[in-house]
Amino acid sequence: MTSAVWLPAGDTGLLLDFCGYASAETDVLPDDDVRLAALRQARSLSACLAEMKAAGKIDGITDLVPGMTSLLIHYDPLVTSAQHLKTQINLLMSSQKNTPSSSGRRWHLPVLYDNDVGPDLEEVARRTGLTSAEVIARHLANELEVAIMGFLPGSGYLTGVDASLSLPRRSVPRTHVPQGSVGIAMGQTTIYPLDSPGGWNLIGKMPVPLFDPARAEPIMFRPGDRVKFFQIDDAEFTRLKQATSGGAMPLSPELIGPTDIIKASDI
Amino acid sequence: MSTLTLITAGPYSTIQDKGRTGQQALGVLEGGAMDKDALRIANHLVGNEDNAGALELFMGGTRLLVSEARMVSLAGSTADNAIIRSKNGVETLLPSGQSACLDAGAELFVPPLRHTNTVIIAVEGGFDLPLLYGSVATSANAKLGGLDGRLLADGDVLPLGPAAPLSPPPLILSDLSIFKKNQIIRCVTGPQDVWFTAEAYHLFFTSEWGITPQLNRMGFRLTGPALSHKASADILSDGIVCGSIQVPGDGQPIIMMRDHQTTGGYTKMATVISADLAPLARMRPGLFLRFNAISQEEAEDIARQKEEKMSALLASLRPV
Repeated sequence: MTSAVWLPAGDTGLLLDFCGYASAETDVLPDDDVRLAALRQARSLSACLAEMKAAGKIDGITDLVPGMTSLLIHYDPLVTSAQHLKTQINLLMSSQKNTPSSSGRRWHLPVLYDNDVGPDLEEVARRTGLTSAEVIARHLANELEVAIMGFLPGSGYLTGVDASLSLPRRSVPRTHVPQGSVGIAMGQTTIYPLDSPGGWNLIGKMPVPLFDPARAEPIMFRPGDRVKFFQIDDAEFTRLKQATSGGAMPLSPELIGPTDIIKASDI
Repeated sequence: MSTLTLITAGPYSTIQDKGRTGQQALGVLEGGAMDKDALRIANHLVGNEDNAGALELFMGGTRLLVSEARMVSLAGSTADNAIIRSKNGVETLLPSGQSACLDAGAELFVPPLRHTNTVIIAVEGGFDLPLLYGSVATSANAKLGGLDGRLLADGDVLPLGPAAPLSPPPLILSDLSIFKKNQIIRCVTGPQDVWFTAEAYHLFFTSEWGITPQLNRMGFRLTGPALSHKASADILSDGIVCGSIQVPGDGQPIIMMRDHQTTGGYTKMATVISADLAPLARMRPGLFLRFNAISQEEAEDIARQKEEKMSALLASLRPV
C-alpha cells in the first residue's frame, strides 16, 4: 500500500491523499484496488475523526470531506494548527484498524426510464452498441454504492455501474438539467438533487428528491449507502411524486448491516 | 411582527451569516458572507451577535424600509455610503463603518457600489428566518437557506428578530483600513502544485492576474498567461476549501469563494490564506493582483494576528 501524503490547503485545510498524488507526473490513474483501498481509508478515518470530534477528543476540526482517494480536514487555525493535527492523526493512523466504512443501509430507488425524462437514452444505446431496453436492464442489474457525496447538497457519486455503460461526460454540458434526472458517466451514476447545469448522460428520472429542506432529514444519502434501482411507469412516478409533497418521505432504506466497499471484481 | 421591506432588492442581494459547517461530506456548501470582516463589524455596530444574519448586497442599488425603528449599520467599504431619507424627506449620510437609527417609514438607500463588490447591512435583532444546519446563509445556486434559498427580490418582506429592550447608541468604527483591498494576495502552495510545469509555477507567482467580470459568490475567474499542467488538469475528485485556486484545462485560474462546491476534480495550484479572503472579495473587475507564497505555519500566525486586530477594532467602536 502507498503511504499517505499530507498536503496543505491554505491555513484552514489539510488534505490527506492516500494515493492520487502519485499520478501527478503521468496522468495514469491508480489501479482499481489501490483506489478502493484509498477510499476505504478516507472514509474510515473520516468516521473515526467525526466520532472523536463529537466526543471532544480532538479540537479544531470544522468539517471532514472524503474524496475519491483522499480526506480533506477543514480546521480552525485559531483553535489548532496543521502541525498539531498531523501529529495527532499520524498517531491515530498507526493504531487505527480499517473499520467497516459502510453505512449499513440499502435504498431501493424507483426510476422512470424513457426518452422524455432521459433524453440521452437513445444516444447511450447507440454509443454502447446496445438497445435502449438493454441499457435499462444493465443499469438495473448492479447494486451501486454512494462512494462520496457532493458537489451539490445531497448528491452522490454512485460507483459500480455495469462496465458496458461507461461513457465520458457529454462534450457540451447542458445548462439546465431537471431535478431528479438520473445520469451516467465514467462508470458512475448520479441523480441531480436540484435543477442545475450538468454534463452527465441522462437516461431516466427519480421521483423522490435527494434533498428537501422541508423534510425532517433533508438529505437522503449517506456515504457508503448501497443503491438498487427498480423500474417504474408514468403512473407510479406521478403517485410517488405526489407522495413527497410537503416534506413527506415515501421511501426508507433497508438496514443490511456492515458491508465492504464494492469493487469492480465483485460485480 | 417587525419586518424589513425591500423596495428595490438590487441585482444579487441575499441573507448571509458566517455560513454552515460540518455537513460538507453530504454536499452541503459552506456559504456565508463574502466579506466576513464586514459581517462581524456590521453586527457589532447594531449590538447583534457576530454571526447574526445580515443583508449582503452584491453591487448595491438597494432601497429598503423597516416597520419599526431599528438600528442599522453599513460595513465593508472604505468609501461607499448609504443614504437615509426620513419620512419628511430629510437625507442624512450613513457612512461605511457606522450605525444609525432607521425610523419606521424612513428609507435606506445603498447606491451602486464603487469601491468594493459587496457590503453588509446589519439590522438590530437580525432576521427571524429558519436555520438550515445552524445557519440562515443563502446559497442561491444550491437553493439553500435565506428566504426559500433564493436571491432577494423587489417587494420581499423579511421578518426581523426581536430588538433588545435598550437599543445601542449610534456607533462608529474610526479606522476603516480593515476594509481595504489587497493587490498582493498571500497563498499557500498546493495541494496539487506539483501537477503543473515548472514554468507554470513560475508564471503563477510572477505574473499580474486580472480580475474578470466572471465574479460571483461561487468564484472569481482570473485572466493572465496560460498555466500548463504536466499531464492533466483533472484529478480524482477531492474536497475544496474557500480560497482554493483551481486551474482547469484552459490554464486560467478560478479562485473558489464562499458558495464553492464541496468537491471538485480540477488541480489546485494554491490556496488563498483566510486573512486575505475578505480583501480579495473586495477586488473589482478590471483590477490586477499578484500572488505571494507563504508557508502554512506563517498563514496560521497571520490568521491569529488578524483575530487579535479584529478584537481590538471591535472593542474600539465608540458612540458617534
